[in-house]
Amino acid sequence: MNCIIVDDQDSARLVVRQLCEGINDLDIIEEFSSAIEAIKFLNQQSVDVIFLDIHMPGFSGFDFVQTLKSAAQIVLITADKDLAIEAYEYESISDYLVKPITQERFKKSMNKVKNKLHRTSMIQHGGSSSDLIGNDLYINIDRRLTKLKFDDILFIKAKGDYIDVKTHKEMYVVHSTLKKIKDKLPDNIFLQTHRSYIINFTKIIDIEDNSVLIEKNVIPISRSNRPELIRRLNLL
Amino acid sequence: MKNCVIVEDEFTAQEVVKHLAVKYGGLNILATFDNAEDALKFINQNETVDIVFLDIHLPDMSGFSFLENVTFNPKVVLITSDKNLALTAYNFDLVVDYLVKPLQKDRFMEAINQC
Repeated sequence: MNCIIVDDQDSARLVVRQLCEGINDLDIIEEFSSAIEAIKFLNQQSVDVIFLDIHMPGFSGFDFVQTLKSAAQIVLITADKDLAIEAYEYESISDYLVKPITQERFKKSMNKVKNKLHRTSMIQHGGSSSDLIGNDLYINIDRRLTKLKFDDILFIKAKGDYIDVKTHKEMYVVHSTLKKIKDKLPDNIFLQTHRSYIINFTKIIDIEDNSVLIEKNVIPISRSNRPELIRRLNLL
Repeated sequence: MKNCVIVEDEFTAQEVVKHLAVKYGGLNILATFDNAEDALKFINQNETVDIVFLDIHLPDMSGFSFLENVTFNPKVVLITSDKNLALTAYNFDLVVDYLVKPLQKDRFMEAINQC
């Protein structure tokens, strides 16, 4: 896992660095003393884990989390015990560690992050839907092109610079946009139901006023997309 | 459809969680308990439980002791009026979210979507 450290204090960054040394498979690729610098960096490059201080001058850790458009998991590292309740407001925050941090607790935290961190991947860009071969979509996962059958895809959710591609068995996190993948999907079975969702509508179990159920997932339908969905369903 | 269990000793709070879980969450409620002991027995024998809505202050044990005794890995959403235990909650990997009463629909949905 690639990580960065964002903390205004040199000594605090050193502590995190030392904790990281005890973990296999964790590489610190950069350190930042200001959140703004870190955001600039993250606009260019993606990472798996961000170790983040909360109290920093000017731009706080929570400001940073709100600004972030990344699928990275965030681990807060702070001396302040009182903000854990606020941390729960952000899905991207995986853990909240209060200094001093034991190696044991840190290790536990990294296991949690690994579990939460879906396999990050890159979709192959370029080409248009006319280049589609058969019934498959290839996505690049861990530098390996993995074949997904269109029919296995349940839905796709936009998340900042990433999309989640959900199949029955797996959730793939792909560095792409909803618009790009939409062009690659056959529109006889895929339909956008919401600004952030494309569904495989052959997988629908039932439909309520403003949501559809696909396997165990409740997907929102926006008002503007609803008529198209209903029209399509009538065709089936 | 995901299966959930509600562990909450306060009747009104139980009703609120039930309502939100069914109407907005599209969840199937397998059982509701007002104490930890019965809930633990049920949950540990039913690995089909996907989500547990858990109050922290229960009459017979704390929600955290409860979590230490769960023998598999359901997702747990803590629901409490106590704001001061969120830090402790981070020590438990099963906990995906920590909601403070009174429950808000949108915040509740955010929690469910992480489960």
